[in-house]
Amino acid sequence: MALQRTIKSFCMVISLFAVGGCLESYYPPATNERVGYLVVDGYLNTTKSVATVKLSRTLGISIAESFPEESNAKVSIESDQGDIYPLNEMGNGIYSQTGINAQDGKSYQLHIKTSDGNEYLSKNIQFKSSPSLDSIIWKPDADGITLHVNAHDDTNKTHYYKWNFVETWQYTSTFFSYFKFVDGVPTPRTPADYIFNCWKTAHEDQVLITSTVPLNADVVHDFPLVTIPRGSIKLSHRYSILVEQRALDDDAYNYWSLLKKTTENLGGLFDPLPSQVTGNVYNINNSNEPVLGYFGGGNAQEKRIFILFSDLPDHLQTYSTGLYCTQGLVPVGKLSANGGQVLINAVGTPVPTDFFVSTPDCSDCRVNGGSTIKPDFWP
Amino acid sequence: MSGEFNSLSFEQFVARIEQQTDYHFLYKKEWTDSLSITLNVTNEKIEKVLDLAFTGSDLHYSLYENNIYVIKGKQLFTDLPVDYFNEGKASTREAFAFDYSDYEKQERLKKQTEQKLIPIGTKSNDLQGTATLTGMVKDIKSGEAIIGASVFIESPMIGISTDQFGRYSLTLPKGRHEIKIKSIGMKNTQRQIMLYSNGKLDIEVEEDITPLKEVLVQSERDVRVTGMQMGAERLDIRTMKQMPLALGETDVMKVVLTLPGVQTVGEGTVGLNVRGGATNQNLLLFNDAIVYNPSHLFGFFSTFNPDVLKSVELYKSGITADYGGRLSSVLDVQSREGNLKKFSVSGGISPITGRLMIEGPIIKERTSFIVGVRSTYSDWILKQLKDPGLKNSQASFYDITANLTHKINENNSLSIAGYISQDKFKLNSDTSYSYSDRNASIKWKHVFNPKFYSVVTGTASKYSYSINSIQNPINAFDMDFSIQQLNAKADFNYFLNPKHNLTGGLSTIHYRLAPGNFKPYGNESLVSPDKLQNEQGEESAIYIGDNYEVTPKLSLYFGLRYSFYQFLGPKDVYTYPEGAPRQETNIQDTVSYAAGKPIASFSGPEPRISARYILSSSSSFKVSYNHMRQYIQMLSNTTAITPTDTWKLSDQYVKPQSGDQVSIGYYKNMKGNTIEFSVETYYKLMHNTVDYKNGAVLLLNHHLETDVVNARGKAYGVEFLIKKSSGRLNGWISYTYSRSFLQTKGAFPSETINRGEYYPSSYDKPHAVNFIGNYKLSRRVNFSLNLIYSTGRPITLPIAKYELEGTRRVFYSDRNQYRIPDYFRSDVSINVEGNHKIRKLAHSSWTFAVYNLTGRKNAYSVYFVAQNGVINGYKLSIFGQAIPTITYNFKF
Repeated sequence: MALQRTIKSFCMVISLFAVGGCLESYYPPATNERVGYLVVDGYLNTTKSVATVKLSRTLGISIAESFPEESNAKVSIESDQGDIYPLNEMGNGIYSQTGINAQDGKSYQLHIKTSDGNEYLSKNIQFKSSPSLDSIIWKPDADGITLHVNAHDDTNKTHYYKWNFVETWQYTSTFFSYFKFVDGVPTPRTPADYIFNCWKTAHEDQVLITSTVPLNADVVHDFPLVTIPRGSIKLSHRYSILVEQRALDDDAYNYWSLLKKTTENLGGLFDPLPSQVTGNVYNINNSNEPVLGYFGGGNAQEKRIFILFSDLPDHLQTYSTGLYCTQGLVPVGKLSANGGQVLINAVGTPVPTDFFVSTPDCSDCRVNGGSTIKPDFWP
Repeated sequence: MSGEFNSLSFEQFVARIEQQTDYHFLYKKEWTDSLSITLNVTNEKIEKVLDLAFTGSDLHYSLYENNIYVIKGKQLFTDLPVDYFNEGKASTREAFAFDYSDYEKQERLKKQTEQKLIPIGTKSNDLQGTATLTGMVKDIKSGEAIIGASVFIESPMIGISTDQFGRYSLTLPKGRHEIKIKSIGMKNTQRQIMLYSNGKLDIEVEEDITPLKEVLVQSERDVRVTGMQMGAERLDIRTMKQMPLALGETDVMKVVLTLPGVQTVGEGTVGLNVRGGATNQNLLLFNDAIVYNPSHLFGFFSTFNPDVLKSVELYKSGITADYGGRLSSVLDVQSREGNLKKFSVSGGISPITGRLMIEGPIIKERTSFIVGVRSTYSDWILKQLKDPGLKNSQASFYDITANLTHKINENNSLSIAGYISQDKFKLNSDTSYSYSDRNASIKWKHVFNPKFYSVVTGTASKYSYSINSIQNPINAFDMDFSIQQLNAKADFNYFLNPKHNLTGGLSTIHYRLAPGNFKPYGNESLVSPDKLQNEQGEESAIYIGDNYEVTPKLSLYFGLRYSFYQFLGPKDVYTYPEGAPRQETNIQDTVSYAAGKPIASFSGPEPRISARYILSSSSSFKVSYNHMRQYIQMLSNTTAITPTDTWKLSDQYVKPQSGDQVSIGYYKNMKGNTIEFSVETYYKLMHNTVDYKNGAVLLLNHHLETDVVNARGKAYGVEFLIKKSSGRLNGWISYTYSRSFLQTKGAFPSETINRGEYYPSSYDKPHAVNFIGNYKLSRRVNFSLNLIYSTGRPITLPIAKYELEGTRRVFYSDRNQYRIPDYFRSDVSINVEGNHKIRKLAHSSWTFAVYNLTGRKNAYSVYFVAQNGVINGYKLSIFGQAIPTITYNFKF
């Protein structure tokens, strides 16, 4: 990383003068403290009439544990006109409810009672309609492709846009495993057992927002969502992206842009100063308690596209997997079900005498994090 | 007597004289047998004849009654010292060349001048009323003016300190007085005068050569108690040269940092924090011209070449009305005037730098010059290294200081000074940084009459930096920043009467700021150029002040400055709707202003008041109140790897800063003024200081007003100082307790920091202890020790991580809620002088020093970097180990 290299040479130059070591990791004691602030990630999607709220807790910076989920909380969404929609706990800190009939002109707030007796409210929000998502396009260049989104609002009311996406791609392992061990005995796989084709998903890792305020028209033109480098396994067979578009109000836009600024770029010359970002949820008895995350809502718009390997221009039709993969031929008697070997295929008919074997990373696509279950939307 | 003597032996000569006169010679034959005398005299006195006869020999004579004693080597005194009985008649006989030692000769001359009664003015018998004595205090060797020397009489106590031209003016009762003169680094002296009417007396004082005499760290001893000024420190270059050095260089800024009430955010940052003020609130003047960045090479060195420096004065409170434009302090650095009498060269070599200074007269006694150059050969060292990372790195700097002074006549003098400092560093071919500070000043002093003089000064300053990155040809860029200012001012000084000294003047400054020009670098670069609009401003001021001595014990100073500022076009200015937060998304309109059109105007009075009351002959009590206004601010990002800063002129959104300070001090001298004790306390309020909104971006920001808010500040503290200025062991120890807070409470959440509560500023360091000590082992060897401790500065820490929308984020603490580890440093040095023979080609000295003896890794920069979704914290320390250096200094 460029920054790292700069730091390194900075240290070298300094050490020339000062004879001393220079850079060290710095984690003051405060970064190890267990400060379990409540994190609220909530959205009421009026298009689908679904509200989903995820509750979790913060962790000290240098504590390597999974984030604590907040269970046994009472969560509801309440309108200023007395409508109350309780949310059901779904496990993993997720609370959800369908069939919420949110209406324009009403304002809504999130109400949380945690099991430790604290009570939280979000600020009142009014839902803002998102115009339709016009198109998702991709553009190739020498190093890969970039996906862009286009949208516009003829009524000139949206101004602030936010996108979330889920990308899914199909990929395969290098070798096709036709056999598996069943009780230590090589047995042919059925199609349901095949571990050759996998589907993997990922979501955006940045806050994707834009403002059309500086423009004459409320038009988003080719906003870049994600770049996929040439040779990426994502494009090796079929790739799909589902983009959700939300309209933001001023407050939400400010929250997300500050969050983006202060957690995505830091330490460089042109980067912002670090600072605290709290959202629109507060403890009703202690407004000084930091509560992180944001509760929003509106009629989110969705669109999905697919990209096939064969759609790519010639120079991008390449991917590198399995170059290091090899197979070995092992006599039946020497096979070991516990040795990390994956059976590829059998030699000898009708009774196999030997098996081609390989390692899991070359013959089991699940090793790379995907699932062999084909998603519903996959053609 | 008369006569013609032709190649006579001494015996023959004696016989001839004894024949003609009643004199009788007493001498030793073996001393005189080599002498041959050829003379032709008519009607000359015997003394004259003997003078001529002994010319060129080492013989001396003394007349006593009718005997003439001839002695080899030494002269026998038969007279009491000149004017011993104050008969007012000067001796007609001149003293002989004196072959004992120059030192003793000087001492004797000095004694003579000190004891001789000097008549001032036209003699008369009327000794009623008062008369004014004016003149200059000068260095006897170089003819250079001595600034800040105290010139006073003791009964009644009337005194003044010399101004920046070494001038003084004293109104005294007519009659006989003993005038005393005291000054830092110079020997104390006195003059006996008989004041008949207004007149002039120039006083030459001798440099107090450290190795020979006692004084090492000497302040204006009595001045601390009896002087009007409070909250001020005056450091002489001789004092500073005694301190242990980092990397073999005397460093003004590092010395200033050891004074109570002065702190810095970190080793690598530019500038000082004086009494809880921000770094941009110091008026840093070098020969009257502004310096914006006084540090070389990440703060390793200050940009002032020690060889050319004369003095540094720091005013923390009690700032007089002639200074303005910054809230916290004035740091006035003056370079020396060249030697008016002879040429001299001096220099030094350390592991990293070399420096050279040349000075001398152009027209003897009237025009002189001094030029100092300093540079580093680190670039050359880097090139020699094998490591490609270092080979491709660059780190270099230089500075040049030049000063020309010319005395046009008795009443007019002119000085011209110039200064350039340039820095450049590049790290592994990646990003190169360069910055440069340059200024020039011209100063004309005119004396209308002994009571009234004026100084007209013109200065120009420019500070610029550029950042250049070529790491990736596609993203290669070049960013430039510059600020320049032109300043003209006139100051007047009028000694109205013994009780009133009036000052007044006007000044105007024109600013021109190019806050950022971002350009693609190279042909391949795809970076789109971005240029911020220039900013212009005009700051003018008029002031008047009166130093009023109410009684010998009570003195008052009243000053009033009125400043007026305009932010000028051409500029396109964004407008924001009323009642909405100022943010990019709320930009409503753009208004264009033509060149020279005022966009915003501010003005206000700045009263300055101080009082001194003498409690006893060795103690006093002082109070002062200051109001200051500031129309330019610096925004600094100290959390980046290499701290960068940008300046901003006040405009309709970023309001001018103003500040009030009340300060009270008690001063006590003990043991015959050798030990000074002082305690000063202050309370300060600052209005409209700059603070950053959360997530502020400072560089290349087209609308800084959306990222910067005006804050309130308050600071208070107490400073203790004990200073021992003479003896084998000397130095000072100081303890400061100080706090500094900011409050940012805007109408909108985005303009409010830490819920609108007061929070510690980035330079709030409550405890600071400094010890500076010198111990003289012998006349040639002295040992120094510095111990510097301060609380770590506040910092905003990432304290928690969390997951939002499936991505990891970091949560920061309240602003400045935590602190970095405390700062501690200890330095030692040993200074070894060459021998002290006066007559030798070059005087030299060696300095062995260890900087940061304990090797503590004090933080230069603490920052957090977002790397692949993970926040990593780093602490960068420059002086992470003990750093030994050897320096060789020479002078001839």
